[in-house]
Amino acid sequence: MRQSRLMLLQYLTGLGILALGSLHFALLSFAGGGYSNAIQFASVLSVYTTFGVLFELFLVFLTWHIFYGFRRVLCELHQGRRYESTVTWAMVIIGGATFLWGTRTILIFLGVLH
Amino acid sequence: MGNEDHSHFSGGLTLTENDHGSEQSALSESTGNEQSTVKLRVFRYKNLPKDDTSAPSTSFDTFQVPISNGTTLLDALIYVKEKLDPTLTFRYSCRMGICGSCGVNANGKEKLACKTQVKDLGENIEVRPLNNLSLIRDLTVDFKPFIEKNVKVKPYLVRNDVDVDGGFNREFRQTPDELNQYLMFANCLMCGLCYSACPTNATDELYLGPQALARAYRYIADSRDGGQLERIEIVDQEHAAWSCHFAGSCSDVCPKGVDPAFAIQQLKALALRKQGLLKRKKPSPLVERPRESVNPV
Ligand code: SF4
Ligand code: FES
Repeated sequence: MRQSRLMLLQYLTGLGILALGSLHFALLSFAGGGYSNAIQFASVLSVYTTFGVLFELFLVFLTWHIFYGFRRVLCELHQGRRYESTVTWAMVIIGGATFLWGTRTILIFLGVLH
Repeated sequence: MGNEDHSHFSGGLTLTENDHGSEQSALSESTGNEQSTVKLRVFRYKNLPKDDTSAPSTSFDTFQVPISNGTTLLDALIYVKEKLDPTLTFRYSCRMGICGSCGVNANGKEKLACKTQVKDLGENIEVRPLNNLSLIRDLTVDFKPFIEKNVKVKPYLVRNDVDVDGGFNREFRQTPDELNQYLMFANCLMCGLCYSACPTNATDELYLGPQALARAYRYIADSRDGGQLERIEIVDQEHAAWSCHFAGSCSDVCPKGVDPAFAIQQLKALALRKQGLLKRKKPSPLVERPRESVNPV
């Protein structure tokens, strides 16, 4: 794929992380009227269950941004066809596993998985 | 000529320090103005056979060089070669900032030796070869990868409507405004200072580098060129425009005021627009021949 497409995704996911991260921070700090209420177990759980889809989106953005970014850093430090394809596959596997594990966690707090 | 040896190790290579005194010379006699002396610490490198351990391959030699107003770093190096050590190797040709062959690293910054006044560098000057290119000898480096990267971006006018090869002897129409779109980038000497200063080139040997990318933009911005889509294809790959982190050191060191960092950001914008919006531009037409040509071809 052309670099501009991949980098566009990198920038957009970066912006998405900023937006959803701020929302995440705001909800977990102030939901339910004030910080002390927001950090109660019940209100944290209600935020999680209400905004489950957004959490999944946040996870998608984070996984792409971190692992594609990490791949680029590694490929700027060292070059070579074999090295670069090893790094790509390593990032796909570790990134994929991270995404699946995160999704599993989200499904558990949404009550879909037990 | 007093020689002193202080051997030490640096990065696994043995480095030696040698001191060479000065010979008061014709350099000052010819200029006839106020004279002083500077200490020139010059990087030396010999490409010895692998099994030859008789001498270290890299070292620094220090020379006392008399200077006067107007002495350039290149004058000082030539003085060393003529009077103190004829084995010192460096490149130069025009001595007037045109050929781009005398690039060195002086006191940590890339400079054209012939365009640099010694007085601006202080009394202790360290001269090293350019970075990011492999050493040949002393201050000379191998420009082959640099030239190959320049060739990759098609550094010539691409026209699909007229055959510009061989005996082509016509002109394309271009307004002064159109000329100004690329003129700054056409001033590039291919001296390699930007390539040496670039931190991405330091770690990524496949990175096209600021010079080649600025050259790509120079042709893309030229109204006579019709090859912008091909070139964007080339710069929109890995180890090309998107590897630039906008450190800006290329533009900072360029002796001709070219701004490769700006050109690279323009290339990124064009590559993003190419996702759908950029259309192949129509290159400018040929200038019509005068009706009654004095010297018809
Ligand atoms: S852009 Fe400037 S520094 Fe780079 S090669 Fe051209 S003239 Fe030299
Ligand atoms: S000798 Fe030609 S640019 Fe310096």
